[in-house]
Formats: sequence, C-alpha cells, structure tokens
Amino acid sequence: MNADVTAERPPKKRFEFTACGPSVKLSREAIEEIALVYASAIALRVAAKAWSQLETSGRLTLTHNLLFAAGGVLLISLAAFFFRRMIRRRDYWPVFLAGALAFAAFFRFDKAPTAVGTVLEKPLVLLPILPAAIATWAFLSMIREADELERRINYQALSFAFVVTFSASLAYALAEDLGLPRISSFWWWLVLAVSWGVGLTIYSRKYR
Amino acid sequence: MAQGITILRRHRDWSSFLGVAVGLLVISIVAGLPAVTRVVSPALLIAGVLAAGGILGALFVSMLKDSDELERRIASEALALSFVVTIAAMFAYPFLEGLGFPPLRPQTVAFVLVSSFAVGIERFARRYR
Repeated sequence: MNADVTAERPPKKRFEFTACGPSVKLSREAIEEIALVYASAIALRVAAKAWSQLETSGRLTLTHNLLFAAGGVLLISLAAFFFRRMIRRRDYWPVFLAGALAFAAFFRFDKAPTAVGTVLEKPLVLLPILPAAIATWAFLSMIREADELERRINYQALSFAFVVTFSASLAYALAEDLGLPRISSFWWWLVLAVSWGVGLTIYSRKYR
Repeated sequence: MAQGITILRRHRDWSSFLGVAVGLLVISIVAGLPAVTRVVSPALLIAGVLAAGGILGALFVSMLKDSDELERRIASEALALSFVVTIAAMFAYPFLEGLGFPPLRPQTVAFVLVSSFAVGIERFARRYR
C-alpha cells in the first residue's frame, strides 16, 4: 500500500521561483550526471580537434579513423544516456544545466571552426544545436511545471528581459549606424540573461 | 496565428504592444539610414528610440496588471520560448560566423525576439482552443 502511494507521488521540484527569489536544489546524482555530460562534450571536442590535426597532416590510417569514430559514438551515447536518466526522473533543472554546459563546451574563442578543412567541419558546427535544443525543451518544461506564484514571477522577469533587450538592441543598432563598433552576438546573449536575472530578483522581492 | 491574435485582441494592451514593438523596429531601421542621420542629431535619434522603448515597457506593465489567467499563461509560455530561442540563437551565431555567415546586426536580435514571441503565442494559444 505504502509503495503504491510513494509511486503516485509527483516528483519533488528541484528548481523553484520562490517568493524569496529563485531556489535551486541539485541532488548529488544530478551534479555527477551534469559533470559527466560536460566531460563527454569536452572530450568529444578535444578528440575532434586531435582528429582534424592528424587528418590534415595525412597521418591517419583506416584503423585510426575507425578508433576515432568509435570514440565519438561512445561519447555521444554516454551524454545521451545521462540526459535520458535525468529526463526520466523529470529533473528538468539539471537537464537544462547539462544542455547549456554541453552547448558552451563547443564555444570557441578563435576564428577557425574545430575541424576546419575536413569533412567534419560543418557537422561539428551544427552539433551544439542538439544540447541547445534539449536545454530549450527543459526550460519550457520547468515553466510548465511552475505553480501560480513562480509562473507570475518568471512571467514578469521574462517580460522585463524582453523589453530591455529589445530596446537596447534597437538603440545600439542606431548607435552602430552612427559609428560605434559592431559587437558579437554573444553580448546580446549576455544582455538577455542578465536582464532576466535582474527581473527575477526585482519581482521575487515584490512577493516577499 | 489568427487564433493567437484573436485571444490577444481581447486585450487592447496586447495588440498595442505588438504594434509598438514592430513600429519601433521599423523606426530604428529608418533612423539609421544615412539620409536621416545627416539631417537629425544623433543624440536626438537615440533619445527617441530609447523613449519609444520606455513606452513599450509601460505597455508591458499595464498588460501585466490587466491580463486574465489564460492570457497570462499563453504569454508566459510564449515569452519563455522567445527567451530560449533568442538566447540559443545568439550563442550559436558565433559558430556560424566561422562558416562565413556575416556579422549579426542588432536589429536581427529584436526581430528574433518578436518573431519567436509571435510563433509562441500561436503555438500555445492553439493548446487552449
């Protein structure tokens, strides 16, 4: 009887927009899974970089290629396995974090793509879209599971971020035409994220 | 789209908001034209765009106060979609620049925000039909 009641109980939420601000609870298991997803993404990127350097220097044999391919498949499968485990627990906050970190693992600070000049150049540029899509889905699931107060706080914070980013991008577009330097799209990502954070702080205080 | 707009039209502020957002996008593109910047003072142009942004913010505040439960739910999910789509796009674009895509103009950020919000309204309004 007790086992049935436990099985029917909804899963405990790990991320809440409480009246005292956003509250995050990560289980030890989730932290391990996030770290392993991130490590898989980093290892995949390093392996791709090593493969492309060996490929361009012409030092790769068929056996080496097969080994690299098997390694790549193994790393992607590992990441998929941990994502699946978190999703099955409906632990959306770690899924969002793992997706965002795996996406960030592919961010490059130099101009050239990871496997420039090889057959993997374009697939590797497009690969980070997968974890980004998972993070997007997890974020929407978190919003859908939020209660009325959390939803209200987040709604107002998102509205705030929307207006700030929209106005700032238009004002800067004008300033750019008047001679200010062109900035990377990465900065617009930062404006949106920071204004959302500021909005969450402002509106969660309102309901304290 | 029509379903989403029908739901939004019930509230005057929602349609005003979308109108101001699109109007602001057009104004900023026109204001950046060399023919305009030669005649009007740059400081005045930027002040004008920021003032219009303020009007947009004020509309949002009034919208938040007056929207009913269903409108709030739809807008909340649409804003969340717009937020994550824009964040992912802005983060992903530097990768695409490496493939030879041109540098992103700030107007594109505004366009992605508004268009993904409109898609979200349509998508989520359908669910509550």
